[in-house]
Amino acid sequence: MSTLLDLRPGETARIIKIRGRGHFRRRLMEMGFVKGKEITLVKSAPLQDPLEYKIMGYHVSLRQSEARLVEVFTALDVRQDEAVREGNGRLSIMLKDEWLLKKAREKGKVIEVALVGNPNCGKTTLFNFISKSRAHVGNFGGVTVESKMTSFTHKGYRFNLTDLPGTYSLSAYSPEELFVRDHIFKEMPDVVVNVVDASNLERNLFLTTQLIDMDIRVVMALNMFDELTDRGDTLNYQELGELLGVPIVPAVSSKGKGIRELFDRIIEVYEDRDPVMRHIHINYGVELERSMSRIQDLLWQDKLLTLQTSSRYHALKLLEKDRKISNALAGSSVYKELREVVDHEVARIERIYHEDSGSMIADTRYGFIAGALKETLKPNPKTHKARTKSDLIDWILTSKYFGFPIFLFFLWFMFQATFSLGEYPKEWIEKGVEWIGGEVGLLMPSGPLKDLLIEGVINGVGSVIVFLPNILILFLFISIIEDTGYMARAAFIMDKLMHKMGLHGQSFIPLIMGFGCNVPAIMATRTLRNRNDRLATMLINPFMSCSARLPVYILITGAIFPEHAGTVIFLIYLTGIFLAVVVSLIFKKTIFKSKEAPFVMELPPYRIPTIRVSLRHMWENGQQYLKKMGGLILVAVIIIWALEYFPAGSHAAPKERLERSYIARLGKAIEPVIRPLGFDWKMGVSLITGAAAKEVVVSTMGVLYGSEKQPEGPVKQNLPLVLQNVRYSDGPQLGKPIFTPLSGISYLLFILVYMPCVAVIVTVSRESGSWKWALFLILYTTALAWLLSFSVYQIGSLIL
Amino acid sequence: MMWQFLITGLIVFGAIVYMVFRVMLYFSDPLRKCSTCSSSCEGCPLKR
Repeated sequence: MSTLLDLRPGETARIIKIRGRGHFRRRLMEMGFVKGKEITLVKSAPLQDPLEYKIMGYHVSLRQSEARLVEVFTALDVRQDEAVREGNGRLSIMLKDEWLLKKAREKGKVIEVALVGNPNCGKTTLFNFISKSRAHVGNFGGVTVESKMTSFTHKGYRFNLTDLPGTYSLSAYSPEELFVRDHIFKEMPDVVVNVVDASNLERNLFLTTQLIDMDIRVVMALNMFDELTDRGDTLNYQELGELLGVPIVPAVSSKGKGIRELFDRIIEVYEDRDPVMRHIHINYGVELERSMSRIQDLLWQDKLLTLQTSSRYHALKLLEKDRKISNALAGSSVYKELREVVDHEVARIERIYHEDSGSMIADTRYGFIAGALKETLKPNPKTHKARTKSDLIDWILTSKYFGFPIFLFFLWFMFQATFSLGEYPKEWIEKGVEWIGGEVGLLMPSGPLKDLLIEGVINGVGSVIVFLPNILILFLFISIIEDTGYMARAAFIMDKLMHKMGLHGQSFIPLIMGFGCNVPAIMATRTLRNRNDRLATMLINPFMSCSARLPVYILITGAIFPEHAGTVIFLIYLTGIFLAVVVSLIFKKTIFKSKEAPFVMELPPYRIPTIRVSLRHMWENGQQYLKKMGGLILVAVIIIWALEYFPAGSHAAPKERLERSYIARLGKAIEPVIRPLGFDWKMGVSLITGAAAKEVVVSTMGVLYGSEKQPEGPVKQNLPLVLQNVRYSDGPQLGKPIFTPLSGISYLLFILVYMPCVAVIVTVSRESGSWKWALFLILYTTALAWLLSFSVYQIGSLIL
Repeated sequence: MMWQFLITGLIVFGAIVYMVFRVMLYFSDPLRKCSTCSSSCEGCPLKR
């Protein structure tokens, strides 16, 4: 979009919108800079700054920095616009003035909106409702780490809506706080929607007070308003809005209530027609106000500093000792003097009140909120005295004695159900795979293509696809525990333990996310403020068994421990958590020494998840799993099959062909390293191919052990049965079964601990900013996996 | 038989090319791989 700065001398344009904030916008509008007005660049000063414009018949001078904030629509824009529309490059339109005015008004109906609010206040739910997208929503904070955007039209206005990460404040305390603040400053949205959790007003309004200080246009979406009314509380939100100078719209975004009204109100605010919208000054007390005024006097001397950001906001941030703001002002001509005044004022305030200036500002904000709520909120005395349902459930689920056993029982139950309930549909899919294999075998003449389809594609992909029901069940459980709010309680229970062991409490959310996939989990470590904490959390995250490893666990446990498979899987997951804690403790005491930053874990109220949402989450994951079957896993099995099939090809018997194959040469080359762990070369090759994706371990086994099947048919036996019967064909253990309880545990441990897949490695290198850490991750996890499996297998062999 | 060899060769070659392409893709966008994560990459909050 063009701005006044893009005009050439003599060129005329129509004003679309004025960016910037507060008094700058107001001043320009009073001078006639309103939407649709014609403006011409007369000339620029010899040094290109300032520029002289003609508007409403008089001349006005603007600096380049100011001109940049006025968006305009020029004749050139019209031509480009029409050329695009006609698609044939004809520029035969008449540039009638009325038409240009109409176009300028149309272009001015684009509103940039940013969603800002505390974690877990329902921003993403609101965003999803509007965009009809399925961005992940969890009943715990920290789900949104970056921004996402959607566009839609309402009442003739185009809305570009950005969902920003949840944040409690706009200080530079954590990366997401900085991200949100930078977005507001740099992107300058036309309207900020402050999403506020109505059931937790006091804390949520703290962020609102900071937005008020920024002197930007804010509309408040009072989300989950039904929870406030259900509690019997009464809130006069119109009055609260008038007190804050912020229009308030009650909403229940999960049900879509109040969303239309919210966007109607945004239009009113955007068009400067809203009667409630006004800029208020929170009174910070005589001394703080005096300090701010002294700082503001200096800031006003450098006009550039206050053009986009309020001088009062800057003054407050400087008194709060915000380093980022201080550094941002370092280029100013008044910086030296400013620094001296700020230091003097901070010392003066702290001398008078014997308290940190930042704490004083926060206290005053909370005092203001308490006052505003006292005027407008009438809590229901009955519900506030009685324990809420959430309190009662928490009393049991997070209690000192029952919390941990209940959490462990729940985990065990989840894995038990995943395994045992999944067995029935798994059998049906196995039969389906068998039938397809049989039919293809009958239809096709012998040859390499038939072998590729049956032994490679159907065997390899089929061996992974049978675990789809297990994956669906696991994700249904995960979805339920996230949506009910139990995930936050689990984090709370574990946090207590981890805190004692030196791991940062906030690390737990990325770790929990790791049970799904380690890639977003590693990216979620961005919420950690301390770099050392972040690196430590990244490097232990792969110990959280991602869902891609689940098929391997189910296959091996199903083959070796069919009676206790659920319990063994549960123990594997627990081992992963235990290793994460131990390794983190070692890291924190050695390479990542850091002071523990304070962290308060929020416990959201329990909510009953809707069946629709839970099933949708489950199905989305199922869909992803199926997509992977048709993509990466299918391609991997074709390559593995080719390596297994050639050079002997269809002329040799399956066993002989395998022994002479390229993959056998690779496997036998690494066999001396893995034999002490109880693995044969096929297990070793599966580990290597698993670096692409962990499910490929299973498909590789499907292809390699496929040749071990009984001669009566190509897919007559399922893979767990084959693994139970497979025996060593050479060496000192000739004739003995390969998959024993001991070698099985050793293999499961290796799968749990060894290097993560390529995507995780790339993510670690990108997020840590260095390949060094990615390489370190590969080496230390693989070395640890080898040591653990070696110890288990060798010590176990001595005992058993 | 010959046609089976030809088609098989083409499929295997295609698979190798695709695999190389996918690995290269991971380096530019690792989230492409993350297909079974709990937050489902469809509209993943971590994806720009």
